[in-house]
Amino acid sequence: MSLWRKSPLLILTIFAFFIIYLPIMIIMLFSVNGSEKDYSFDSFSLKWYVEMFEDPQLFEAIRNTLMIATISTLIATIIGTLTAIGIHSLSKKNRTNMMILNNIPVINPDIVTGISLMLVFSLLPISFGMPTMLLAHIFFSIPFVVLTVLPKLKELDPNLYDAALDLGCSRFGAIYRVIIPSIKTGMLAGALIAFTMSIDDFVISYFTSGQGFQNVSIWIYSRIGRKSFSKGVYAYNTLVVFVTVVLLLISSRKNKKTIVRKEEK
Amino acid sequence: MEKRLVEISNLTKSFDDLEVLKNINLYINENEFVTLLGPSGCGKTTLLRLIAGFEYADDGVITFDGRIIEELPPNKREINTVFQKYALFPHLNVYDNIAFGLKMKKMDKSLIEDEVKKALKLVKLEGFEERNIKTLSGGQQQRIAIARAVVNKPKLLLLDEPLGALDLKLRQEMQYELKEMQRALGISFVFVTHDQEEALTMSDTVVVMNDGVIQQIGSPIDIYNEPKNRFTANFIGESNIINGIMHKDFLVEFEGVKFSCVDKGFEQEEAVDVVIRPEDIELKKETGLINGVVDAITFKGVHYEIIVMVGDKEYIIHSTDPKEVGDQVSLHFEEEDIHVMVKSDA
Amino acid sequence: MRRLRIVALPYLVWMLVLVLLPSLLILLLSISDLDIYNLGAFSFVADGFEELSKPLVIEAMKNSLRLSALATMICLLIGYPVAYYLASLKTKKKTMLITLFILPVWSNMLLRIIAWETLFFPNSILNMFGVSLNLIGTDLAILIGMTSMYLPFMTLPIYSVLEKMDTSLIEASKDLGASNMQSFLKVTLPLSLSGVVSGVIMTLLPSMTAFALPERLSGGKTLLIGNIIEDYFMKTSNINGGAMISIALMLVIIVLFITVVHFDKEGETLL
Repeated sequence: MSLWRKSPLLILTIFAFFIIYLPIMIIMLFSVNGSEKDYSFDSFSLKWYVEMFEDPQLFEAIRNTLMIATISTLIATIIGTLTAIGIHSLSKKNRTNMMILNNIPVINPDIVTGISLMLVFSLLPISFGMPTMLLAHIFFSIPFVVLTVLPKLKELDPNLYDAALDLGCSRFGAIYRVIIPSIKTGMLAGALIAFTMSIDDFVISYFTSGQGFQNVSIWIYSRIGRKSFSKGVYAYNTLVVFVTVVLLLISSRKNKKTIVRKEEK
Repeated sequence: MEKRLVEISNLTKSFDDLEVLKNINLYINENEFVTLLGPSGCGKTTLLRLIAGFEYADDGVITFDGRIIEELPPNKREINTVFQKYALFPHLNVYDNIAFGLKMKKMDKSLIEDEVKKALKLVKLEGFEERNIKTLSGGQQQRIAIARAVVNKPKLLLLDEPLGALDLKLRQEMQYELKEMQRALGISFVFVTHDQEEALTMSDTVVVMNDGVIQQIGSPIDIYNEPKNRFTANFIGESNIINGIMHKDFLVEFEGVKFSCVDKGFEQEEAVDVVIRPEDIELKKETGLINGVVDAITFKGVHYEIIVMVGDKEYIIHSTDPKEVGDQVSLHFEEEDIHVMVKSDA
Repeated sequence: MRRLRIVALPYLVWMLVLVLLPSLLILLLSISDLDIYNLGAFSFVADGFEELSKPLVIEAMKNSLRLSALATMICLLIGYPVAYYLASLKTKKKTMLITLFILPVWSNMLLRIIAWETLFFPNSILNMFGVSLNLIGTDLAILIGMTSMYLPFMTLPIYSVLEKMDTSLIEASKDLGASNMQSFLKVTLPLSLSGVVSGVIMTLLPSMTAFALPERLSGGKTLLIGNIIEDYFMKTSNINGGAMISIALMLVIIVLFITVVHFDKEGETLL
């Protein structure tokens, strides 16, 4: 594309980045804002980063969020991977149907999923609170794992599993030793997506929680505009963003290393 | 009287720091089938793309039909291309693919219908108008790609290794069909390939390239019989290349023996490369001027490939007459079969 | 690997229970007086339809459709050119750039909404730059908020499709006489349509059903269907009424869902 044509597109792209990043910049700014007010910035202060640990409800909410995210991601990754393996082995027609079913939670708006789960959970003998939120998070995470693992399975040599059996592996052993290593990257990608979806989830958690069990999003929603809203949450969010960026940089450098090593061979 | 359709002067092109084409000079006549032949990376595809207009040269001039075109974008050049992977538009059916260029020219609808029909007839795919591209076989897609290009009646058609994805039988069929097409249409073809057999089969002129430089230009017979350098000799057909000395015109010495030959124009006592084709050598049981031992013999269907060691040099012979490993043989060939070339640095 | 088919069976059961069952439940609730908290005898009633004719509900539906359509259009008008630009870049940093574009999605949406909220008050951090906005309650505020949240969802699918497109198709188009603009309109655009459809769905659905965003950025003045549903289920506990409204919403979604499946059968563009 000639330079002439590039300029307006470049400007538009910069504008797009701006409009997307502005709120994040503001949050970062607030996380180091010495002032109590949102409309003035008088001093630089890290006190909110400390506050994050000192406000008991916020800290508990953060702990709950991380706990739910970790457990749900682990379970969803395992179940999702096994399910993907199962789906991969289906006939084409069944596979398409299963994938339609799989994609429904992905496409469905949060609120529909939230209400659906809330209604089903009221029929079950579980109390609303951590167990229901955990179930909900597992529910919406599994489809993402399936979506990232399935393409990796398609790339696999179809004879690999049979070769392992031929050489004496049990069914489970064959899966563990032969299939899993080849789809590791898909599993990791799925786990990453599941984790990030879980950490920031609001609507679904809102409808499937109870008994005062709060994750960070629910904590925020219940306190907007009130005194109990601690700005430590800005610090928490900024930290999360930084960690995500760092993880991305590490993973991209890892990819570069494998490429370089392959070239050296 | 052949008129020059394309003239290329001093064309140079680099990508990043890699010089891909170095000072190319070449011309193409009207109604000529030219093949750019060379190994991967020799620059033949780049040269083609420069003629088409998908790349712009760093230096040099390209003239087409009397006009200078090296700065023109591809849609303004009256040249059409058949792409390596066909590049058929997946969202259009066969008819719309072929009609694409004609619609761009704002041709009348009924006229377009006629032309598309004619083009389909030329590529022997009548009745395929409504077909979906994805339902076509590789060979069919290829013909549609050709139809799409020639329907625009270009004076020059560029073909970028179009037969690469086809299986052997189909390839050979298409080679003849393309040659016939070129004759029937009366336009010039520039064909890119790394397959020397293909080049020899189809072309009026072969341009042998290596490393961004033209090695030799000539008719298939010239290129085969009179390779000018080691690269061409090696690339086209098989050859035995022997170190020799040109004593004077028509007299060359190699393997310790003086031979009369039909080449001249070299310096006295010049060190040269001597080329003898494997099919030109006859093996006899009696002792002769050059003697050796049969080292290996392989059946190739059309002939036997026999490796004979003369001292520690390997000679390849193609013969329908088998020998046994270990046989003592002598090598025989005619004067005309000795080709003397300028010595290459390799 | 055919023998491993059975591993998918539990998932089938799981999904049927958690996806199909609730849909049936919602349907049932909307047309009967079944009490979800006190299961017992119930009869079919038509009360639910009344809910749909309440002025508040109709107003909310109109708002949802209007604002989500506008927001989607804005996101498309900005997102397509941006996707085109990013896909056309030849630098190795291309992947990094698109990842950066998506990054904000991983930051808490509520906080981002709150951030916009603070900016839209006359008294805000922007005063430092001599700017004062008074946008709370306006449609513009909601649209800006939606664009900020959903632009990545519109851009990513379009980017994916454009990035994978065979460049030789454009070369072929030019070879056959088309100018740059013609090539774009006749080749690139039609071939990128599946990405556009994905992007539109990914923007339309969340914006139509948002509730925290309109609540904060309109100061409670503009209600969307999401707000209504939240109100029915969580605040007034009118489950049956809420169910009816949900059904109406779900019907709209099913239509859109079928469009996506029609355009893309492997579920690839959804990621």
